[in-house]
Amino acid sequence: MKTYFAPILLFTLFAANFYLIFVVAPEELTQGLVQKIFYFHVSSALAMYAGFLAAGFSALIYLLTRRAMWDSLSKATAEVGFVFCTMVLVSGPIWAKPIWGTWWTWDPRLTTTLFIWFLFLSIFLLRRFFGADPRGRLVASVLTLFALADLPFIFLAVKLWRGIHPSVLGQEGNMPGEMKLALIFTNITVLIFSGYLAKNRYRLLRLEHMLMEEV
Amino acid sequence: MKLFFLFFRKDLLYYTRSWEPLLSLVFFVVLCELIFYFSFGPLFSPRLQPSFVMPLVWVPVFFGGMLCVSRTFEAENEGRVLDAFCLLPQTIVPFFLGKFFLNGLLILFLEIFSLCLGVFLFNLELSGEFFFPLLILFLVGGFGFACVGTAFSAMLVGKPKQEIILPLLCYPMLAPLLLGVLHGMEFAADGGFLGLDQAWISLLVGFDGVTFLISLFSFKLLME
Repeated sequence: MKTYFAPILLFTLFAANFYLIFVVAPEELTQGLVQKIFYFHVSSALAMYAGFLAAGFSALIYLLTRRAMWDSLSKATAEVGFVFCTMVLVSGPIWAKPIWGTWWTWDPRLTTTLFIWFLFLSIFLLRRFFGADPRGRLVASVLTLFALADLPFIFLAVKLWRGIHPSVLGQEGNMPGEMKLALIFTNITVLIFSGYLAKNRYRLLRLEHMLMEEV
Repeated sequence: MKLFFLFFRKDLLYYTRSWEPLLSLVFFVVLCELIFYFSFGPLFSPRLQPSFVMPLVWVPVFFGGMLCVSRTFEAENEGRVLDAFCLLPQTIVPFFLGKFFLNGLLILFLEIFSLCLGVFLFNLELSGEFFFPLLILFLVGGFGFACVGTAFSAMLVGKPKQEIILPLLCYPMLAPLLLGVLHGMEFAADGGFLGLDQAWISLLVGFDGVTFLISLFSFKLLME
């Protein structure tokens, strides 16, 4: 029963989530049904940042303690963050095409999300490049730390550019209560889901590591 | 301090004893600017805004700088000299600083050379008040590039195919630097004064400070 608890919980949460998004939350006046991508887009972005922050801090702890479990955690959370970053970059253009009339613009926030995607792709490339070399763990952790430090500067570039990306969040009175509820619930659901994915990935990496040590 | 000057002088001699490494960098910058000139030739005219052309002057440096940093530890990689340096913990920081300042100096040289070539090729007319902001941008841009490049080159030292993977690692990391320098140059070329409170300069200085500290910290870890 314990094995199935998390999947059942997630299934229930997602079911409730879809109900809130497609039934409870009203359709936006000007954008229509396509606006509902916003819930997944924003929550994926949140999960992306959570994954990257976790990867960065795990990398820092690995560098200080040199315990392999922290490197495994860093790798697992980076991978999950990368997946959600990909979802952000895919869901954004799907929304943008009917609304802005184009799949992609070099809008600052889109551009910086793309940079973040490249940053973490480079970390995965580096891990593959080093292969089984134990030095690869150290180098990847250093690179993850660099990437984490780079994130605020990428953010600042967005602010300086002042692009056309909609800023619904933080503006009072822009969203009705039902929409806010759906958004908050989606954020919580997706964060739990990303944590579940990271936990399982971490477990796999630890098992791989133990197997390699025995061999 | 003495160790730092010794390392810096050693590396400077390496570049000046045989001019081939420096000439190859200069030649690369010349080729890049020529390619830009041939690509955008019909767009250039005396009435063309400098704010369009100025960023083109820095892009060859952005690419040429990668050639520069990829060779950072080339000499020490032979004969396990690098391992010998790292056996003495007190040499690690001066060693990094020597490499970092040399890379910074080379990139600054490339920036100035590229600017002179740009003035010649693109008929740029630069007023005197433009040089101070430009110098600031060159210094902070070169500093940040040298930080990241030196640290990343240290990560990949001795590994095969380093030339392929190094740009793939560095360029995403240098994105804020690239944006800051290019937009700063555009801003300055339009007559804006780049004081220290100007947003792009603040971004670049912050980026340089943070990357320098992390580079130093990570270099010590990588060499231990």
